[in-house]
Formats: sequence, structure tokens, C-alpha cells
Amino acid sequence: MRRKDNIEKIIKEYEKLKEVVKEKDLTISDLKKRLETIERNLKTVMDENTALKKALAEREDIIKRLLDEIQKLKATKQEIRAIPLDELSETLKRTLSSLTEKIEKIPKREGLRYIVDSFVMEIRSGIHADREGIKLVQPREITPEALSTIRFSIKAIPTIKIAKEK
Amino acid sequence: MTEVDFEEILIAPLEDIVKKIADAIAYAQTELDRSALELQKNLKQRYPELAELGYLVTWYHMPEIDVELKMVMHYEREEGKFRPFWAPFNAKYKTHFSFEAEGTSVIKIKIRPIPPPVSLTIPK
Repeated sequence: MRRKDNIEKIIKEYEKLKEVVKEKDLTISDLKKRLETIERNLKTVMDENTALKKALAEREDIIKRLLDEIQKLKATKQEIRAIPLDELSETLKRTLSSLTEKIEKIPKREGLRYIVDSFVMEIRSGIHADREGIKLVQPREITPEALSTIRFSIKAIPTIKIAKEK
Repeated sequence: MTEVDFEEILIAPLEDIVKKIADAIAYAQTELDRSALELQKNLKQRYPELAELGYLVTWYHMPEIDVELKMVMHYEREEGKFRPFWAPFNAKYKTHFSFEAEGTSVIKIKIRPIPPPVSLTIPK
């Protein structure tokens, strides 16, 4: 009888242990799943890290280039490409005189001679003012909307030759 | 960036550009006159009867020349100081410099023939 009790006890113990093992198996399986998820997340994070490192290197390159550009701009800032307004009237004078000189070469017939009847110069340029006065700044360096307009208009008037008294 | 033929975006002083245009006008009128003269000579050779009647070929002349140039001004260093130089505004220029048409300067020239000056005599 005592032996039978012992066997039953052992069987019960065994059943209990089986339950525990089953529970542990479930826990292990759950842990495995969690580990897989963690590994996947880690891989994603590592990939992101690599991508961020690459992006950072690119940004650093851009920053370096921009800093170089700033240095260049600082260097050229000292030298604004500008001309005084007088230079424009000089251009106008030179242009008109060379134009007239060439027009004179057009063959004359029946006393008719060619003249520059009108000359209009509509200048689009930037304006810069400093201690030396107003200057015109390179139009290419400014947006078209910000450009000023200077309009020179010259018109020829007929002349009358007055003879001496007879 | 596209290759640029700098001859196509030539930058020169305005007087040089205008001089070339005036040269072209003078050349065109000279050629018109030369052509009329040639025709008159041919007429005399081929149709002497018409030439004897005093028939004259038509002579052409340009009654008015209008030039409108769209240009972009540049300031380039020459002999130590900046001077204005000009570049014709064209497709090449627009593409290469990303420059908008609103920023262009305009030069308008009107050339026309006039009679010789009238001489006035003031009576005593």
C-alpha cells in the first residue's frame, strides 16, 4: 500500500514537473520571439544609423562648400562691380560719335544725308550708393525686379544755316 | 554645365557693337546703289533704245532704319577701373547666365535721311 502511494506521489510530481516544463517552454518561445523582434529592430536602427552617418557626411561636405563660398564672397565683397554714372554718359558720347562717323559713310543722293534721328538708351541696372556717390551695379548680380531703369533719349533737330548779309 | 561658345555671348564696348551695325547699314545702301547702277548699265547694253528714250531704272534707298537691341550690361575691369561692356541678350546668354529678359537694357536707334540744311539770307 505504501509503495502504491509512493508511485502515485511520483506520478503527481512528474505531472507537476511536466506542467512547469511546458510553462518554461512557452516562456522560452516567447523570449525567442521577443529576441527576434529586438534583433530586427536593432538591424533597422543600425541601417538608420548608417544612413544618418552617410547623410551627415554629405551635410558636412555641403557645409564645407558653403563655408568656402562664404569666404570667396567675403573676398569679392570688397570689390563691388560698379561704375559711376559719369561713365555711362561717356559711353553714350563715344557711341553717338562712332555711330555718326559711320553713318556719314552711307552714300548720299540728291543732297540727302543720313543722320541719327533719335537714340534711346534704356539701361536696366542695380544702384549702389557709397561715399563716392551713386554707382551702377552689375545687373546680373540682382534679381530683375530689383533693377532700376535709366532712360537716355536723344533727338536730332534740323538746323538752319544763316548766310551773311549780302 | 553646357559648353559655351563665347563668340555667341560676345561682350564688347557699346560703341564697337553700334559701329558694326552702322557699317552694315552703310554697306546695305551701297549695295542697293551698286545694284541700280549695274541695272542701268545693263539696260544701256541690252536695250539701247530704252536708254536713248531716257528710261531710268528704279533707285532704292532706305527711308528709315530702326534698330532695337536687347542687351545686358556688364562691368568689366579695364585699365584698373570698371567700364561698361555689353552682351547681346540671346538664348545662349539666357541659358548660361540664367538671366531673365526683364533685366535687359534696350538700345533704340533711328536713322533717316534728311535734306541738306536750308540756307537763309537775311535781307538788308
